[in-house]
Amino acid sequence: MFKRITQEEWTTVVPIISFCLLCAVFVATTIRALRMPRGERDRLAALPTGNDGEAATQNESPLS
Amino acid sequence: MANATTTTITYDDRSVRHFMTASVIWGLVGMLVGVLIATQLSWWQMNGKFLESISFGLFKGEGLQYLTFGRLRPLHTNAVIFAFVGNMMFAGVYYSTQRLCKVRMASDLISRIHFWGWQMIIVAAAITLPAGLTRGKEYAELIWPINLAVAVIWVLFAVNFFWTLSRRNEPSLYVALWFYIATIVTVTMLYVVNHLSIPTSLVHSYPIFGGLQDGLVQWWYGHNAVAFFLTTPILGIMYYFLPKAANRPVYSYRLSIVHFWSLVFIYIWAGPHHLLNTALPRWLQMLGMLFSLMLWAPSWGGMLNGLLTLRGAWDRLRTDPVIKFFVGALTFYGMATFEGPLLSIRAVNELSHYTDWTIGHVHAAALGWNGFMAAGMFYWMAPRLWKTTLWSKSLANMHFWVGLVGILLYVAAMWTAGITQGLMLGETNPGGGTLKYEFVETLKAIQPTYILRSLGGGLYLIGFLMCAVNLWKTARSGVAGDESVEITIPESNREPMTLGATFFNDPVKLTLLGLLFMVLWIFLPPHADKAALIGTVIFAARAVYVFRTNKESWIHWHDRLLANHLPFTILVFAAVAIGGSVQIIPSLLVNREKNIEGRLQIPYTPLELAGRDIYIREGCYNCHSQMIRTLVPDVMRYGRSKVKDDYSHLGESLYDHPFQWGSKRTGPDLAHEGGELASGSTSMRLGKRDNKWHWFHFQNPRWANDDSNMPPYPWLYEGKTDFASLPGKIAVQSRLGVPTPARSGDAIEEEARAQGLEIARSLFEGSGPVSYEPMKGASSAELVRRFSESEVVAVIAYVQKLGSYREVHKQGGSEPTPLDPDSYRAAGHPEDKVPAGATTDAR
Repeated sequence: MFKRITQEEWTTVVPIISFCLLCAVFVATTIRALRMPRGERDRLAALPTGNDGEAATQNESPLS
Repeated sequence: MANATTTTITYDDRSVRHFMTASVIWGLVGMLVGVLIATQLSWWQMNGKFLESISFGLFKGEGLQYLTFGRLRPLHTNAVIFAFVGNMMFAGVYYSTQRLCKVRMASDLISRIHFWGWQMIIVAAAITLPAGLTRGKEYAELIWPINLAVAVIWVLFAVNFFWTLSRRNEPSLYVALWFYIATIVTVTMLYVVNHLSIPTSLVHSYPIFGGLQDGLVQWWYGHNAVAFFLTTPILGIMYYFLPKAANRPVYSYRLSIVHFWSLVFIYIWAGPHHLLNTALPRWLQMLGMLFSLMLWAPSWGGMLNGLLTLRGAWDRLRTDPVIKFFVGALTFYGMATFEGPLLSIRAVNELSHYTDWTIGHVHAAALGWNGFMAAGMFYWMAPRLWKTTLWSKSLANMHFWVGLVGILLYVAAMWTAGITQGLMLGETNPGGGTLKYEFVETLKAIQPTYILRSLGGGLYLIGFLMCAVNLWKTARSGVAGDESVEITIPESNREPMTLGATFFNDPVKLTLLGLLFMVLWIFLPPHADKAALIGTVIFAARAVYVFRTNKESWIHWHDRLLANHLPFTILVFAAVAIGGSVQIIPSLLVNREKNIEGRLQIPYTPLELAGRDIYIREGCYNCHSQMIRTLVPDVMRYGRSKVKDDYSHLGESLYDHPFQWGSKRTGPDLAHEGGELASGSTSMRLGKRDNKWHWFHFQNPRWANDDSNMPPYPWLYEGKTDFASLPGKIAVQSRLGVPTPARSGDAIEEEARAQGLEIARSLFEGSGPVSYEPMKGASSAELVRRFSESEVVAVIAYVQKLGSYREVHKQGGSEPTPLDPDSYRAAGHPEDKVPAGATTDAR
């Protein structure tokens, strides 16, 4: 199996593995977001973006 | 301070609404065709056979000529570029130009003619392209009468635009207008040069350039269609609409200046990167690669200028779909303009070229940059144009996410497909003497990613459908109306600029001198070139010094330039004309028959020419290249076994009007598919495969290989070759410089028919004759007579001719040629002396 992936058919296997890994990250993130409690989701959606104006109005920045 | 008067201006927003509506409709059409042709690469039945199922048997056949990939792919690209983005661009330009100039468009009549003329051109394209009426050059397929219509309508647009500029109530030109000016000037130049043709009939013409020269002109045009039709006008739109949407001024005015001038100057040189590792002279390949790498800087400068405009407004990204689309678009712009130069590196291009990697790159830009900029602009403009609010913000948000997932799926699938196929095509068996995979095996390996591509494209289409619904509902909920504003007209205190003042100043003088020495560095013989390089460095250093010591006068000069649109336009033209001239003019002078040493193409016989025109009509170039690159795997795969160094040489396609090098291989390269004259024959050739193989293959490609995705071509067996048009076509070829023997029209037709008979006899007579089901029971004489006039025989004649050449040797060898830097290199290094375009890989 290892020899097949690394030597014999790496040209066909490695790009597909890369693609699957990329998709897995997106799918895992999506599932996590969908299963997240609403309160946590809202909190993450409202994380400060570091704008001066926003920090002044929301006064939520931990650095302020 | 000048005295000011006030006046009320009513903008022509009706034209904006028209263009925007047309863009949405044509966008849906173009994307739908795109999804259809994506499925055709997975299931050959989608080339027309599927109609049997959905028409409940009314349609019967293995395919329909109007629906094949070869004919629909040009429809897709033209619809998306010229219909979707074109109309979107016009909507953005009309909306913003009036407001930036504080004046209504100069002529309502011209605006109407522009709108309706452009739509008629699109309708004409939508009819002619599926009908197989094409010039056979990518993104330049439209036939010559439509080309003329495009030129007229484009000029009318230019007249209306510059007339509006001349009546403006705002003294200085804002950065968005600079980009619009560059678009109008450059597209005019590119379109005219690349469409120069000699007609042979009302619907057919041959381009005046052939072979390498046609390739160079085509990709100078093709690359810069991306630059000046899909990029610069959209950057102008970004510079206007993003600050408006974010309610912030643009991040850096100075960066805008650097971004603009460097982008328009550098972009135009990068075209040859579409022809890397081909028969294109090496010096052009290097220039194309270097200028592509230089493009990284201005492209990212523009992206950062856009993104940093959002400083202080990033929180709006959460709530405002317009900002969301603009940020998404700029991010894709940055990604695509990073990837473009990367793919232009010759070593990377070895792997990526002719594969789906390029397709993924193009779609990251088209779907991400153009599509999202269009959506953001539409969502911003629609409520203002119909004096209402956006019907559904959440639907717009949904559009964004569905579209984004669609793009990512599409692009990642194409990256995977391209890299997989590129790697597989280069793989050899242990020992390196033979290739590991057949072409069709590589195609089979990427089929799963092709299906994911269709899915991604489908998602993007669904997202855009949401946009269309949202805009439709928004329009229905409001009332169309033209905006009126009261403006202040400052008393004119414009400082006019003469032609002398335009050119004779430090910024222009030093730039032009530096460029002149850079060009001399490219073309001068050894040692003199080094002196020229020193000259370039001296003028560059001088420019930096003068700018540092005299900055105010440079700024003043540019400010004056911005108040004078004609001098500005002249300088833009100079900036874009230099690159094309340096690359194309020497090639037109040098790369001609008289300078060819080595392989020189044998011109086509009349029947082969007829077959070639059918090949072009069917859009075969969309899947089959005719360019064996100077790379070992290419030569091993497509070269002829008994011919040494069998890559495509410059002279082999010298008489091809148009060139057919292609840009993507969904099927194998065909450059050397043909072969020698058959024994005892004066015209019939036999290549890698015999005539019967081609007969069965065109009828059913699955006969040759189960995994082929090529559509069948049953109509070639029913269609008759157009012999009557051949004398006229050959006369035009002769005018274009193709060395055709002088003979009468009757002799040409007779010659074509004789060759057709010979090929038909080879099919129906002798051992193992082929059969034709609809003529079951017919005698071989009947079949020979019938098929000697058929299109399939003409195409077979053409395919069997591909790659035929004669050797030309010059006494005493070739001398260094002025305007051909490669010849100096070869003279200086005899051990490197390989024909133009060749790399050491091929030896």
